Amino acid sequence: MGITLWRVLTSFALALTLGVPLGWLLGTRPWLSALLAPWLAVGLTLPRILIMLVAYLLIGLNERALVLAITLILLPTAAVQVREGLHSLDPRLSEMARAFRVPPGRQWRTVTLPQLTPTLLGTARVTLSLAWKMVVFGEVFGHTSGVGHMISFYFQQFEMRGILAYGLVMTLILSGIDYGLAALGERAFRWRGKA
Amino acid sequence: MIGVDFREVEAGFAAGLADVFAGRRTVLSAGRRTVLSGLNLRVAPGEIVAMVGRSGCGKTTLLNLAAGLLRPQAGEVSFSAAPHTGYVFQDARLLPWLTLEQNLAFVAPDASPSSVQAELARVGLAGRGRDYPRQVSLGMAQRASVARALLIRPNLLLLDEPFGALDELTAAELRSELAELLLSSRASTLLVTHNPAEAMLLADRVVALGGAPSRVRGEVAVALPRPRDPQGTDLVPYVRELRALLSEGEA
Repeated sequence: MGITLWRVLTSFALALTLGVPLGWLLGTRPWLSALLAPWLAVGLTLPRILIMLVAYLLIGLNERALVLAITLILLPTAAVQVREGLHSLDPRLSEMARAFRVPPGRQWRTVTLPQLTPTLLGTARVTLSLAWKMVVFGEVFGHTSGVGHMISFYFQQFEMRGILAYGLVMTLILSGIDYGLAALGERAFRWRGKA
Repeated sequence: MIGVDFREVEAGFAAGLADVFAGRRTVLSAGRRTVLSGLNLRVAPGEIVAMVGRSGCGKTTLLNLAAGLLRPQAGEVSFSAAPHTGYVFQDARLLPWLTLEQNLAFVAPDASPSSVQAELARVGLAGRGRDYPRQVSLGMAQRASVARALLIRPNLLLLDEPFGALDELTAAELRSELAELLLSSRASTLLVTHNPAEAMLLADRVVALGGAPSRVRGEVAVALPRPRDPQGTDLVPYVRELRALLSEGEA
């Protein structure tokens, strides 16, 4: 269970660490967005199993291959979500801040970041749920440890209870993390409920 | 106080280059839509100048040039001192996740809480500082926007149709209050409006803009004592003169 969670959180963290800055660059530099648009489309539509199999074949049946494959699978989704979030920023608010000569750092913290928060939280939730499904999937046929491997093991034993037990426990843990992210969002948007 | 000088200014905007990111300026390129051309206008220190013209004649572009949000394609905008600019937009542009107090403090982080409260009280919002923008009416939000501009003690005040989004009763009330606030602030003021009577009520001088691209068609010096009566017949000849200027060239 622990190793699966480690794989999920590592690939999730890597995908966000790379995907958010990439999405920022795509959203703020139209030329880069135009340049990478076909590659993003390929990344979003390529069958995920294909990326995983190619990673296993190139790197081997190990941790690095699984984490790299999941990161590559999640990266386009995270980047595109952040890019779209940037496009929905209200330019009038940033214009107001510049008219009052508010320093860029404070503009970023007070004007841009609050507008991006829903996108960032949404991206985190989508990426996390995708990461957990893909890690279990990858473990089923490429690893001898983790929840996916145990589900595969119990499947070969025709043991339904074992499959459900592992699946449910992992679902509960990930649902807890997702609930935490949702609560964070609610806390960030308390002002919406003040009307 | 500060003087502003627009010399042979040509300006416009490039569609699609909406500038949404902090610290970046929209790059204006020649050949894009030019709304102002060969424009000359001088605002004396402490003077209140209103600009009147039809929609799309470049009034807001002129304010954005003064605010440094745009750079002219040609010509020059110069100031007699370092500008300290307060800007009241047509829509209040308050940050919805901040309270009214926090919105004011956002542009003036060094202002004490008591001065923020005092500025809110000055525009009739005493006791509403902890409300969020969604909790107040459009008129109140616009009052807060005026308070935000005045809190920084500007030497240059830019007002872009500040009552354009309000109903006429609220607008009339705010106009009278703003007339007093402008006098006490002593900032050089550029006011954009398409309401000639509003311009005459508030300004020392009213400039008529028109044409495509726009130029200064003429101006009317309003030699009336303050405070002015918004219902007063003494405004009528000035309004007539301005209307004549605005309709020149359109016949």
